[in-house]
Amino acid sequence: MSEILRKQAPISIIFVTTIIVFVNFFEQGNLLFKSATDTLTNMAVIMTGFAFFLVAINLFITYGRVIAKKTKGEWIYAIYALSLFTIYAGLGFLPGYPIGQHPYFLLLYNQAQYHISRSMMAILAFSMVGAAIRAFRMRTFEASLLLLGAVFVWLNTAPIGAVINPNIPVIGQFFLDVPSTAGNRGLLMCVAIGTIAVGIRQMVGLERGHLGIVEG
Amino acid sequence: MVALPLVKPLGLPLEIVEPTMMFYNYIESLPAGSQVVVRAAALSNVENLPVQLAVLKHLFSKNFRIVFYPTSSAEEQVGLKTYYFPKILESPKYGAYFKNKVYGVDYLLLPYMPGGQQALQSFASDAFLLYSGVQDYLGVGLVSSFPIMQYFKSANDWKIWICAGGEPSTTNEMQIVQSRYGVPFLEMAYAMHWALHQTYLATGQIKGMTNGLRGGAEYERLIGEPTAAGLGGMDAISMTYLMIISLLVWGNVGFFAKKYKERKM
Repeated sequence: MSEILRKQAPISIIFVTTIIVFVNFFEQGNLLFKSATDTLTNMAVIMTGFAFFLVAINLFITYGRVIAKKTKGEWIYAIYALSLFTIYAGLGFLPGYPIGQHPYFLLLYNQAQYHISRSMMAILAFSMVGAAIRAFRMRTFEASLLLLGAVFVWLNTAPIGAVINPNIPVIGQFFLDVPSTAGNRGLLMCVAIGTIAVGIRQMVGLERGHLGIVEG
Repeated sequence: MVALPLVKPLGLPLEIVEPTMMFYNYIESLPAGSQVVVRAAALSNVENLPVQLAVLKHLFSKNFRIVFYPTSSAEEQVGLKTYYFPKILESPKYGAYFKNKVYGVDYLLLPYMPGGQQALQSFASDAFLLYSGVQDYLGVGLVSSFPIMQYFKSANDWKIWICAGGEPSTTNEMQIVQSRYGVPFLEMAYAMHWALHQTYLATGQIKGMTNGLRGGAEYERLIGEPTAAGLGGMDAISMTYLMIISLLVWGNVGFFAKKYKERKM
C-alpha cells in the first residue's frame, strides 16, 4: 500500500473531521458545520451498530475454536455462553411481537438476568467490606486520616450519624465539600489536560497507534 | 443485625439534605408542558430503585412531556415497562395521574441507539435525523410519528435532563447536555458517586442531586409517599455502617495488639 493511502490519507481525514467537530462545538450557529457534524456523528452511530454484529461474530469464532479444540476447562463454558447468547437473542426476534418485546424475552430478563445482576451486586458488598478492612488499617498517618474521613462520610450518609452526635454530619459534609472536592477537581483538571494533549497529538498525526501504524 | 430494620424499621430521624431539596424544587419550578428527558437506570441497580420510582411519580403528577432515553442497550426501557410503570399504577396517590397519561403524547420510550456519546450528540443536535425510520422501543410506530416528538427536535427544546447516575454515562451526558447545550441537569447519584459529583454540584453544573438509597428515602418523604424500601432501607444502611465501623475497630485493635506482641518478643 502506498505511503499516502497508509499514512497520509487517514491522518488527513482525522484532521479534517476533528476540525469540523471542534468548530461546530464553539460555533453553534453555523449550519454548514452543524450539518457536517450531524452526518459524522450519525456515521459513528451506524458504525457502532455494525461493531455489535462484529462482536457477535467474533464471539462465535473465538468460542467456536475453543469448542472445536475442546480446550480443557474452557469448552464447556464456551458452549454455555454461546447457548445463552443464541437463546436470549433468538427470543428477542420471535415473531408476533416487536423486536425485544416478546413476553418470553422479557420473562428471561426479569426473572433471570435481573436477579443474577442483583445477586452479583450483593456479593460485591462482601468483597468491598473485606477490601475496606484491609485498606483502613492504621499502618501510617495517611491511612489513619483516610479511615477518619471515611467514618465521618459514612456517618454523614447514614441517619445514625446525626443520632450519635449532631456534629458528625457537619464534619462529614466538610470532608465532602473541601478535601474531596478539591482532590477531584485537581484530578479532573489533570485528566482534561491529558485528553487535550492526546487529542492534539492524534489530530496532527503524532499519535498513530489507533491507525495500526507502529513506528519504532 | 443488618436485615432486622428491613423487617421492623427503627424509624431513625432522616434529615432531607439540600441537594435533594434542590432536585425537588427544580422539578416543582418547571412550568406545565415542559420537556423532560429522563435516562433511567437498569433494574439491577438496586440502590437507585426507590429514588427513581419517587422521581417518576413526581414527574407524572405534573403536566410535563417526558421522553425516556436509554444509553445501555434497552435495559432501562425494560425496567420502565415491566417494573416502574406498573408500580406507579399501583400507587394510591400517583396511580391516577399516570393512568391519564397517553403514550406518545405525554411520554415516550425511545429505542436504544448504539454509539454512546455520538448517539447522544446526534439526539441533542437533531432527534429526527437520528431516529429517521426508527420505531419507538415498544414498536408502536415510528419515533417521528408521535406528537410528543414535535417538542423534542433538539436539545434547545429540552427544559431538564434527569439521569439515574452511573459512570461513565453521567459524565458523558453532562459533557454534551450541560456543557455543550446548557440544559439544566439533575442526577439521581449512586452513593459511591455522591462524593465524586459534589464538584459539579458546587459549580452549579448539576442543579440538584440525590444520594443513593438515602436520596430515595428523602424523596419519598418529599412527595408524601414513603415506602418500606426507602425507610427500612435507610435503617439497614445505618446498621451496615455501624457494623463496618465495628469491624474496622476490631481489625485495628487486633493489628496493634499483634504489633505490641511482636515488639515485646
